[in-house]
Amino acid sequence: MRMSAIPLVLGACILVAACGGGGGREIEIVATDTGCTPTALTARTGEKLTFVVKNQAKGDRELEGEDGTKLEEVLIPSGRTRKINYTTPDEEGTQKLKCYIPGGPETLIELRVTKAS
Amino acid sequence: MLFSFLILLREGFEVALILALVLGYLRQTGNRAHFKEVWAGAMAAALVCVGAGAGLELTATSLSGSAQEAFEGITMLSAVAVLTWMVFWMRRQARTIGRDLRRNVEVALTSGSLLALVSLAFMAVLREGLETALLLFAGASTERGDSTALFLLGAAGGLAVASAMGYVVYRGSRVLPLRQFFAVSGVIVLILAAGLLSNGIAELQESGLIGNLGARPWDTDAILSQTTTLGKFLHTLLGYDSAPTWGQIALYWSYLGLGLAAFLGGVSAVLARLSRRRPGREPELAES
Repeated sequence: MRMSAIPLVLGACILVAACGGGGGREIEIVATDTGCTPTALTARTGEKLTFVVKNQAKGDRELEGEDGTKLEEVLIPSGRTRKINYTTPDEEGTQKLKCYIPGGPETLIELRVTKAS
Repeated sequence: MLFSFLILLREGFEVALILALVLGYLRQTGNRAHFKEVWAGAMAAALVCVGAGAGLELTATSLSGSAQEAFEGITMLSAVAVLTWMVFWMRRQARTIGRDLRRNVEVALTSGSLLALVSLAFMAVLREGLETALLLFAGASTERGDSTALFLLGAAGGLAVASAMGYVVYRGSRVLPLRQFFAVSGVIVLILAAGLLSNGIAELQESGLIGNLGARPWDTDAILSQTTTLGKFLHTLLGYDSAPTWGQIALYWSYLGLGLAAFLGGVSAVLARLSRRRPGREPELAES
């Protein structure tokens, strides 16, 4: 049991590490004590994006998809930067992200996704 | 996936062990006809547990924002309590579990009440199953990066291995190193619980339910980001946090340190006692 568990865990780690995706076009989002900017973004359908979120506020901030936007919640500690990968859907439309104080007020960021030409 | 596998392996085996002991005893005493009552009780309990798990998931998804985080945080901390209790309870219980179950089955048989046999199996499976539902939910809350399919696949895999081990016990084989299984899985469970503890209080802080947990002394985001697959995997399994607060660090290490010391200290004490005993006695299931 002890002997077989170690290679199992290591193997699983290497496997998941190998499958991690790369980044895309960088979009900077800045969080301050008065909210997050910018609040309007544009992208193409199926485009790979990397949100570079800089938290210049005194407290922690979180970024998360809203209304069905598939972006998992990421915490950005005060004074830190986090890079978050996101691929836009294949359909046109407006995606919503919320940038917020944990348990507090939020800034809604709209991401307009238009057809890739 | 590994999280659900490990939880189901351990919890599933506890259920399988109880069922194997009860069924094995019925077979030995020529009461095979009563197998169906045991299975009926076990199945009924399993259904209740699936319902409880679905209820937790529905409650969590119906909540939003900070209420959801608070709910998840509280569930994770409850899971830590349950895991800790389970590890230490099982260590004490394993030595006498075979004898206790046999006595209960005898009482059920002599009273002639089939319902007693049904409820014996029902209660045994229900207790373990409710624990499993709570633990899986707590893990699923942090394992969002994993797809539901993978998470369930891990759970099914753990249950399959546990059932196979239960069958081996039922066949009366003594090849399984039960003591080692409970010792090693006990250590793994304590490590999983320490991670859940750190994740749980982080959720509570994010929900605003508890105050600030202190500064974040380091940031390893550049080395291993929590948004990567590996980062998420380690977050679920070990409570990896790229920038943990002092509160998380202190709780994590004191829980793990005290838990392992108590568990391993108990293990060596039991081993010392066992080595002084004559072999071949009842406590084959004795836990280390």
